[in-house]
Amino acid sequence: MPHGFFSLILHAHLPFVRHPEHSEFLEEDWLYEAITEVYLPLLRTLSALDAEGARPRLALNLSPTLCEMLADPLLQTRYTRHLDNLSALADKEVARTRATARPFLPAARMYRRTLRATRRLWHEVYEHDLIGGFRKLQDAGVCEIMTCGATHGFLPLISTTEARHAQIQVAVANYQKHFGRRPRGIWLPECAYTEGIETLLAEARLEYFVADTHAVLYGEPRPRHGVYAPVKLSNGVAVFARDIETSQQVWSSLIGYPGDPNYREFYRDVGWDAPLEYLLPHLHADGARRHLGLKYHRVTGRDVPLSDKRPYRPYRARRRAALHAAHFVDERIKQCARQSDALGGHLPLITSPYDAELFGHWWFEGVHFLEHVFRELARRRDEIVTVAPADYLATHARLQTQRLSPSSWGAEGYYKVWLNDSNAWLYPEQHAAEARMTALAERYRAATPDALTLRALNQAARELLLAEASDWAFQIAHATTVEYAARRFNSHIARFNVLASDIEAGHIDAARLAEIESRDNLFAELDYRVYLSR
Amino acid sequence: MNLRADDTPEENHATEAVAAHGDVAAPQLARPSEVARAADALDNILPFALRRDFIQLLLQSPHRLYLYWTFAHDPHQTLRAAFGELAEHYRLTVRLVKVETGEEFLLDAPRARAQWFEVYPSHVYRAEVGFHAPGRPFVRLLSSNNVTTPPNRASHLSATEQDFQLAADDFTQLLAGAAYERYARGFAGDEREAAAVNETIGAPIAAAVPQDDPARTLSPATLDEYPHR
Repeated sequence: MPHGFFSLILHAHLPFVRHPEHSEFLEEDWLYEAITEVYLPLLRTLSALDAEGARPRLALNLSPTLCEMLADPLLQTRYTRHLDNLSALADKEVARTRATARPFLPAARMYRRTLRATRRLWHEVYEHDLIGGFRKLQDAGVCEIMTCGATHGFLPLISTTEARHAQIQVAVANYQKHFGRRPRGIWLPECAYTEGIETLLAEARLEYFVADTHAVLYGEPRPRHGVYAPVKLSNGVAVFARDIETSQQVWSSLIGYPGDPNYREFYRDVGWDAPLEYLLPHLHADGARRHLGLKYHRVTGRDVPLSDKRPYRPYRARRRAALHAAHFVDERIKQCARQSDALGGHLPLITSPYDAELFGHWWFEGVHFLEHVFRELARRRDEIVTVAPADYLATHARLQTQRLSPSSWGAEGYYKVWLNDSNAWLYPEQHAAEARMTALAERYRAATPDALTLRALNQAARELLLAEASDWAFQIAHATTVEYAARRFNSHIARFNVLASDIEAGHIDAARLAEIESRDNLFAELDYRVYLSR
Repeated sequence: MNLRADDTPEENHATEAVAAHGDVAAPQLARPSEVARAADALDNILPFALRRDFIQLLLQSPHRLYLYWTFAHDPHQTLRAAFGELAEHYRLTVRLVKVETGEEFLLDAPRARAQWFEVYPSHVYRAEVGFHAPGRPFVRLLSSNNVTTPPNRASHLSATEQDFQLAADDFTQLLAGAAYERYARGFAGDEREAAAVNETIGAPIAAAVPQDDPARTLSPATLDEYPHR
């Protein structure tokens, strides 16, 4: 008799970064690093587990912008270039460490071996089509793929119902394009909820979303099962709330697994350690140092300065990941057993959502950890049942009806990360564009636009969606890539406004429109009428 | 800066590598055309001025709201045209209203056309911008949306559906058992704590917060801080 259910949910998202106007572009590396370290390893691992009968089951959100980038021929070609460059460096590194830095040789060999396997996966197994790989996993019952906001717009800070509606409808249409079916669940960008969003979700026939813990714990009336069961809103949309205990076990800087001294140190990279002359063939044309992805040190200890980090031992780290996985599953079984008494016999569901990019990118051993989690879950399937959210709903368990509390999964649990002194300046322009887009759509409610105007309307919608991405406000708030984030927001607002002015004036600059279309080429299926007044 | 494919050694390297696989097209490279240059220039021509009468109240947290507004025309001109010399007595003012009770809080409108407010959880607020003169009616120019601040504690209401009813003490126990004690603060059944929370909810807001960094609009000055690539 199992003690309860466990649901792992991975949220894979990157903002749309594609710069055909430059032959190489630093921020495009976000995608390339994630393909190498996260998406390909996840595909390989889940496929292998499935093939050996371990029956892994999870929910995976692939955001529409990520899907569009993964399917983009230019970015696929550039990823090939990136991978070839990294592989060439890894080959050189084996020779270098063997000759002059033997403590780092095991890591260098591991990179060479891993990158050779990555090239095989990229070219031969998936033939550059990672979306196809994930689609097959969904069709095989390994993962349930959820959608997200079209560009990861922070819905509570979008000013009009029409613009919120567009984020959801464009996402659903994009999902259908890539996965050949309708999505059943949605990852609300940043888990950000405010009252009324559920109406838009129900209209899109979405059955559930994921929320942060206090959305339910502070909901009304108080939840009978805490966060150990989904609740439903008055219109029937179900809500799965994040379990804190499992979040802390992975995320906490104090007790989280990734802080183990044996794991790879993220912030020490060959791109900053090796001599510049040696690295030059592998850097961009500007010759600027940057993270290249080959890292040779381990965490060593919490307060150990970067300069004193010890050499990374890949095999030791992997063994550690297996131990942590066994511990993680054991703790979930104990947690379920403990809670089922308090819940009066109700079998608890533990919902564990994480950023997918944590596993493999930030926490290098994270995908190995997940592999062993699924092996352990398979071994102990009599004690705990692994489900995706829709599987749980299919049990027809009765759900409590609640009004949720507004919330997000950001720092302090509300909207502060995306609305504060550093980034509040974004919203007047964004909100004006949202109102203007609906006004543009309304101009053509009765009349059919000519072909050029139709393209301009659709492109204006794309520019607005891109401006709304929560990533820009996040990056500005965290002072990470402020210049780039601000520039992206400004560019999309500017492009939106010039297109809007052209449409309003009845004179569209066709060459300029074509140039903008070539740069921001996502969502080919988009129909501007999603912005019509409601 | 646009780069050409043959500018750098690594570009050559990449091109060879791509060719070696034979199944992918060469990277699509920058075309420094007139239109592309115009598109680049377009991105540098900001802002597209906001010319609308608009006000928006936004939630940041149970304790903080953000208000911004824009005017299509200078409201002072309108005031002078309508009130003549009397206009001198009026000041552009922000009014925050606690909707349930009608209590209000007034302050001079900052030039930044934005204002943070510290408020209380579980209340409904609305903001207005208009002209105020002592002893005279408030001349409302803009009125915002209502914002309901979220609770900062669990609900005192138990479910009406029998299957989901749970006594407050049992809920506390449930949270504690799940290491969620911090969510149990001042909630259901804890009457003393609830009373303490309620006592603090008297004034419509706690404070209007001066801005360290005034709300920013897109302007050439703003753009100067973000040098282009």
